[in-house]
Amino acid sequence: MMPNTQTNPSAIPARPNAIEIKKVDIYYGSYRAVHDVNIDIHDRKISAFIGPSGCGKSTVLRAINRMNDLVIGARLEGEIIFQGRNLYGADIDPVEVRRRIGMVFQKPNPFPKSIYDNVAYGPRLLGIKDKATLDEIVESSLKRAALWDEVKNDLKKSGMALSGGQQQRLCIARTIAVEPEVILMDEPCSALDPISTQRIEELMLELVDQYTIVIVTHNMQQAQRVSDYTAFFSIRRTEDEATGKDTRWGELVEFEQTDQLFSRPAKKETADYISGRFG
Amino acid sequence: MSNLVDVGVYRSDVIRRNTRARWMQNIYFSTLIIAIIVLLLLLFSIINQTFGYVAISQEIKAEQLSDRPLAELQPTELATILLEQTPRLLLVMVRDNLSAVPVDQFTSTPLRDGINGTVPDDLADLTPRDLSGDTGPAAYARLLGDNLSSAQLVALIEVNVLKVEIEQSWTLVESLTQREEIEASVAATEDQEDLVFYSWLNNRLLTQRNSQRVEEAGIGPALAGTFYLLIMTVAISLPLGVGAAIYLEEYAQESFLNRLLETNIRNLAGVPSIIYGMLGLTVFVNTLSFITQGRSILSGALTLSLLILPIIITNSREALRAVPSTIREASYGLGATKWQTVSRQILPAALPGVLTGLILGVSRAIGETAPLIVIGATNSISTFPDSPFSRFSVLPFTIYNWSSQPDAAFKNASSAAIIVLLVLLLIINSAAIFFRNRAISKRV
Amino acid sequence: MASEQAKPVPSSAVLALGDRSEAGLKGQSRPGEAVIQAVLMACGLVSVLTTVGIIVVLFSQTILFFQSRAWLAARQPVAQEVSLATTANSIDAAATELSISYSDETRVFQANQNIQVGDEIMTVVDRPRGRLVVQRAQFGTEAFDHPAGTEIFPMADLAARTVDVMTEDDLDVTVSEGFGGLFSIGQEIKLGPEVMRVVDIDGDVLAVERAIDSLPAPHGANSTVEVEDRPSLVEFFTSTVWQPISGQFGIIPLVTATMLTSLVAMCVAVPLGMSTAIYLAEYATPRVKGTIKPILEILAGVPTVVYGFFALTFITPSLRTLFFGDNINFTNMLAAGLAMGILITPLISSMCEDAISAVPRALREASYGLGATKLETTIQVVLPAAVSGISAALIIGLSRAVGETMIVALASGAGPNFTFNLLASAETMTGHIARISSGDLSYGSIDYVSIFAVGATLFVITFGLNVLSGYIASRLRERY
Repeated sequence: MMPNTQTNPSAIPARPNAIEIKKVDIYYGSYRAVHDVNIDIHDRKISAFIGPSGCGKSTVLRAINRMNDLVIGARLEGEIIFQGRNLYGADIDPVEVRRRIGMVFQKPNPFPKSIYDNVAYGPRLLGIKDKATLDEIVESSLKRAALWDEVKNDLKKSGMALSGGQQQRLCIARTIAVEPEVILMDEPCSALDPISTQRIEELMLELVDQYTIVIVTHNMQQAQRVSDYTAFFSIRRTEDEATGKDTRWGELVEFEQTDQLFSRPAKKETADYISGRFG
Repeated sequence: MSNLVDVGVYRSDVIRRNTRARWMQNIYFSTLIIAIIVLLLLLFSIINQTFGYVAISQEIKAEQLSDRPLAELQPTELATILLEQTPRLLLVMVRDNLSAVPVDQFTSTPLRDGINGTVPDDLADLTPRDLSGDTGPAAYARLLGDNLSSAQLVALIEVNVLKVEIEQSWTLVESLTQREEIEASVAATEDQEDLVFYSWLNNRLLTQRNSQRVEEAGIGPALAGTFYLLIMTVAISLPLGVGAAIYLEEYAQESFLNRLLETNIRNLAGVPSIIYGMLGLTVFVNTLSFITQGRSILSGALTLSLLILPIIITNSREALRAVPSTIREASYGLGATKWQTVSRQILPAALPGVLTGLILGVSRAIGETAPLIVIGATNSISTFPDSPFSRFSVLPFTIYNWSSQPDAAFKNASSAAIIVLLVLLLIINSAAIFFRNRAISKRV
Repeated sequence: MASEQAKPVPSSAVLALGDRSEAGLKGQSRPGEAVIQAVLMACGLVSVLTTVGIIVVLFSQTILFFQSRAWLAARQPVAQEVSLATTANSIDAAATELSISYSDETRVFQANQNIQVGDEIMTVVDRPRGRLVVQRAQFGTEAFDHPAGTEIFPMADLAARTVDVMTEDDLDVTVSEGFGGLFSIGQEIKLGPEVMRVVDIDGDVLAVERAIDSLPAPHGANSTVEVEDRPSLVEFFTSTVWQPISGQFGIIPLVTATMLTSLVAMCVAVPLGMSTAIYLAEYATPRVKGTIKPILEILAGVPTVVYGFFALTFITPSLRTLFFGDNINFTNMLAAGLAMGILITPLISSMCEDAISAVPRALREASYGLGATKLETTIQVVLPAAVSGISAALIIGLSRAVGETMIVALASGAGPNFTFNLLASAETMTGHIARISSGDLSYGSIDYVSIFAVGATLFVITFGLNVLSGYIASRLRERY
């Protein structure tokens, strides 16, 4: 690691939990997608969200940096505490939240711009115009994303011309270029081949020294390989007897250290899921 | 790099960026308001010109002709007034309003054949030439009284006896806000002028022929020409357009010819309409004049058909494509041939969509002026069209012609004609929405 | 087979359903089907025929236009001795309309007639009651300011005639006084049936080479000197005067007027259309969309002649009252361009909205995820990604403006006018075609073929723009 990429430790107060999700319900219009989620995400650790499709794990992840605000009708009840402040408080600016809590998406989504411009996009938004500074940020970000050696000679090439795995690492480089404190990853490897997946996983383990990482994954082996903590979500359903209407929502079943969750799950539902009997 | 984590500087920057974002959002939104304002201004300017005060001068007042208002009199009484006041003009009135034969044959044709309407037996065998003496006017007055409505006769009296002339006109806004000034200026004129609040959109405008005098000018033949033209355009373009769409959707395989057709239709949609007029002028008006008789409705309809063909083809193709393939497979599975499948299953299912496309094409055709100018629509012919080979006028052409007249009062008449055109369009588009909704509700 | 287990079908039903023998399975020729397919294909071919027809018609008539070789008397306008009227108000050098003293006297002027006002020669374009619409600074004169009360002399076009009798051997032609300047060295002239070539000019005396394509013949005094008049491609694309009837074939004034009105239209439609598109695609709730889109559709569906009326009776008077006073002409390019801008705004906004909506959501999310505001995302990510669709929309809008007829025919003015003054009236290509063809054109006359030359130019421009737009739009499809 380059010394200048280290953030000044004194600027970040010591804290046990990077993010505290407290009694969170998430609604889309009148539909309640997620109910009563409580998770303490630990600082500089990798936390994984696992669970069957439709259990709301991605919804919770996207709530952490207020990406759900972009969906018309989406609404959150409860609190998500970050650095001692509720992210859904009245005085909080979602734009600033997203700068502090970066996100890597399921499908690699580089801008149709050059590699350089992709990485420099965020810093430029923040008002950095000096060419030398930008060069330095681009280089260090690409290095930290383990992409520098592959692209250093053609930074002018379109980001969309890279392979899928490279594109995803470019997206990670783009995210860390704005110096977030937390990186959210929404199934970052689901569109990638096994070798690219392995590289991204290695990258996560390197980055966790500096960043708190939350990852949503379908792949239980991946959760076991990379994460320190794992949250297991599941689907609850009720049937209204009068109308026969089927209502479903996602709930957190268990949040534990990964080793413990996979070896000695506290709930039977978790045990069923990880042994493949359900889901 | 410390500038990135310097929370203080950073915070204020976000506020500035957010302010800018909100500002631009307001600017974007304001353009929507502009669009609404423009539409309102457009409607306002048309209505503003259609209603308002006019200063009318007349040589004789209606009260001098009859104790009762003219509109309450019977046709025969009105004909008597015409006979008393303008005996010499009656022949022309009969010829202009009742003649069933060309102008040059009228005087030599017996009234039985020459008149469009009922003819008293004692006059049936006579020609207008026989009636040239003193008996003529009385006979003509009978014909007029028998065959014209009160409204038509009142119009004839206004023009020929009262000699109503519109001296000046004001817009609606002027009429509402400057009433005193207008009254004062009318009172100050030397002639006897009456100030009347006038609607340029009236019965006379809708039914009468065009004229050099704005008091008499109407859009009757133009309206008839528009309908005539539209019906013929539909009759030509609908089978051609739907046929082409069926070919492209159901028959055509991927080949050079079909790619050519598709590219071609796309490019035709972008050709300026006046170019179609020039095509029509050369091909239909001049080269094929032995079929179309030159500058006729038929030439106009053929030209407009070519113009709206791309619209009909594109929409019909979409409608055909939306027919579920299960219907096709079911029909083929029962051993139907391709044409049986198309004609009995697919076309009926696609009909609402096809009709929507047709109506879109028609609403384009109804407002088209440029190609018809080139083809030779004319305002100088003031007869109603009676065959596909008649020369013709259409509503938008009349609007163009009147708008470019130097006499300002024609702009008022023009705006009234615009209202008629917009109402027609509104009706046609409502039909399109009706079909579209029915198609959607059927599918669900 | 399943039928073996089924009950036997009554024989009448077998007959009704047709042949069940083996032969029935063989391929049958279905002539009806083939005919129908052929008819349907013919319907499709009508559209191809239309394109072919347009191209053949426009270009064959244009070739006729360039081939029309005519001998016209060499004419030159000469002021008459008695003035017909005086100017009622003072006019400046840029005005294209003058009011004259006796309103009824406009009838003594003709369209296309030349008049002399002071030292300036003008050409009458139109003569509405009490006014003359003119082209200024004709025949090499300069536009001056003229005070009220200046006399207006009508000018008659006088033909150049020979002064002396000419034998078969004479090599000099003396033309009427002052007419020598009409000729140039190398030009072919015609006296009676004989064509000659001018080899030298000395004042009004032309030295000629006799009998270019026939035998020399004697010519009497006072014979008309004719010159060849044929539009050349060079003249077509370079001359700034368009008056086919008097042998002047420069399309530039029509093209500049078309470009200026279209430019004004684009200045209105691009910001309005794009901003509307951005709002509808990125910001609007479904309810706002549901209100605004029908309004835009109504604006797009209003017949263009109505916009022409609007420009003439609302926009121009408003501009006159609010901004320009008497500087703005009764018909002018600015009002026509503004109305045209309103017309193409819905077209541009709906095409741009489609292009913007086609940008994948993932790109927007990536940008928001980096802490960008909505504005920054739109400007820096969405619009660049949609750029090819947006450019295609703008080009289609421009093409529509170039081809639009009725607005300019009503509001932009009658009579070609080479000017860059938006407040002046000038005729566009489409407006010219409409005006010339609204009179009864005789088939094959120079006016008739000349509008096809204009039409062909218009077609090439719009077709080029459409093809360019299609090419740019297809690149968009390749990208995603």
